[in-house]
Amino acid sequence: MKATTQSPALVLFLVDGSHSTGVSWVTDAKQGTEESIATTIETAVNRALHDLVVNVCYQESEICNRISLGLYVAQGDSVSWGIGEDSPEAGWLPSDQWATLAQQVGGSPRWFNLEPQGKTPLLKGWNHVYAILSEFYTEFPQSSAMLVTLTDGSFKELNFDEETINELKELQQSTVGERSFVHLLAHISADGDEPLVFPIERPDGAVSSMLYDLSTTLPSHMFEGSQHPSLGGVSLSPESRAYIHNADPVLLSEMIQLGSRVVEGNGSRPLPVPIIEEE
Amino acid sequence: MLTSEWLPLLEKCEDALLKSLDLNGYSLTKGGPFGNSLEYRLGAAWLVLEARHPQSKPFALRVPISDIFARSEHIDRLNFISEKMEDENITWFPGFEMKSFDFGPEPGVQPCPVMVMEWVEGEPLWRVLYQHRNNPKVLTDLLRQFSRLVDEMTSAGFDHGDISITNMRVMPNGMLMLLDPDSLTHEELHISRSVELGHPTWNHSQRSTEHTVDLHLIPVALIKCFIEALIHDPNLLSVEPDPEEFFYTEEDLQNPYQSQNFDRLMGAFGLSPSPKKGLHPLLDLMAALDGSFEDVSLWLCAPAREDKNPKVTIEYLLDTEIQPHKASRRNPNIRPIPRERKRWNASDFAREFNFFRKHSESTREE
Repeated sequence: MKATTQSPALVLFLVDGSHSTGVSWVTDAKQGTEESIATTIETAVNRALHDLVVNVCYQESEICNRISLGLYVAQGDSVSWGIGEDSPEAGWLPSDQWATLAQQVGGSPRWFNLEPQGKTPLLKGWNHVYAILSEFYTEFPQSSAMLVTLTDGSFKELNFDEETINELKELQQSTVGERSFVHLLAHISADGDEPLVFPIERPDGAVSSMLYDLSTTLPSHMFEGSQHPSLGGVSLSPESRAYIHNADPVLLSEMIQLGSRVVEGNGSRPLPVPIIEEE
Repeated sequence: MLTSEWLPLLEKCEDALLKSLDLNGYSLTKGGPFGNSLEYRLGAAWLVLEARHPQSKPFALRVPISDIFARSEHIDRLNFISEKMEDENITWFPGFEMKSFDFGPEPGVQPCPVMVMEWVEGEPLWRVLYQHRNNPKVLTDLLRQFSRLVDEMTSAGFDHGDISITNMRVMPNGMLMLLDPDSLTHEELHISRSVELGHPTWNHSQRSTEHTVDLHLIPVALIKCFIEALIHDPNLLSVEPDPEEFFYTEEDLQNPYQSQNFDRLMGAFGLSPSPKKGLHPLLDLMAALDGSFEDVSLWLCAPAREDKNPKVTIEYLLDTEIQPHKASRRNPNIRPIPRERKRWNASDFAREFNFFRKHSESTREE
């Protein structure tokens, strides 16, 4: 995913802010530390935003407008802007505007606070971000985009029937077309299913297969420079889908931060081959 | 390791790191995007920190972002290049030394290579070009300096695989410096594979790791053609460019004859497309980009390395034609100054004096 000032990349977060994300889970089994899913998401999103500024936008003591950001929370009955007070008219903010919205908390910049409440209007959220994505591609036809969807929603309760699922997949396809697009999708479910992380094959089950279909593969540059790419101890291959289901807190956190690695700004361009030199 | 992972670790280890590098009394410059971390320059392969001392010259400390640049075989290569630069008394590239430091228990940092390099003050070339786009005198001087730098580089047996607008800096005295030692090779270092492909907006699209020679030809021609065109038409930089896609795009280099940017360059020179060789450096460059990388040297040639007649003329140094002669031998016209080991504490004045003396000798008419 290329990100330059002429063709900035759009990073969109769609975060489930429902009441259920307030439940605690064990984040460090050895030390017995617990925190809410919402706190895990909040911390990881803030870290990902920080990393985007540090690793992509900051060059020669200036913040370059390489990353446009849209951060939305699906909560209660509505989808709302997640950082700062005013929702941007365009649906996203350029780097020099969103980067400066951070508040310094304990030495770390913090943009996003998540207070769980209400239900999850996830479908409304997806419709909203795909509409923003469409506007963005119209304004920047050469640009790349990444959508990070984070949810613990129960799809049975959300009434995702087959028709809805097909319409959703079609909406994503028609919005994105052949453009550069990455969809990272993390679903934490209370159904007790076995974890499914970065699958290569399409899983069974209506919900899992829908989320698999909506997620994309990771950009090829992520596999350059490493012979055994992995994330949180899980091996990645170029065919792996950017989809995790019922991952533990560490992997969820790493997946969210993965967002800052997907965007290729001034990053390294090493090659996946060993250096063989003869003197 | 990403920059965002390095910064807190470097902050934590600052005192011990500087002490182990014999940089007592130095401190790392603070700043960063939020003003609460270390200030840094982000390279393609290394994170660059600035170590300052109230009375002594500053240094750049570089730590690897990608593991591949921290491998021992690559460090050996960097050590070779560092020594070769000292032997040749190179002035167009900052001297550096490879050291290492144990940053702690995290994988990949125990111990980790640390490059201690002369700090290059000044502005990156991309910024200078944009700021002075309406100043032909400055642009002409930069073009002349760039040509001379490349001549010196090739004459000393070096090649560089990632010459780009971001890997060049203009010092406060106007002197141009090349950066990025990872991509620097020498003819005595017989590499079988290149370590990276260089920036895709400055290199041939078909270049692979198998290509280990003539690496500089395409980026040098791209930069020369651009600067010369900018002298004719400042509107080529009408908006402030992103150094990551300064003028050319990856697509331009893949299809030069379908590129609007190459059309703009041809417009600046009053040219129309032609596959005939030798009409203009820009047309030769386009033909080279359109062909395979193996044929690049048929269109673009390294600076001449004549065996006889070592006299250098003023015309040669002015290099207004940007049309180097086709030859592959070393050019004795540009001689290294007599061997003298450079020292880390050499003053800037001595460095500038050496540079001046070198060119005074080589330009003397018989």
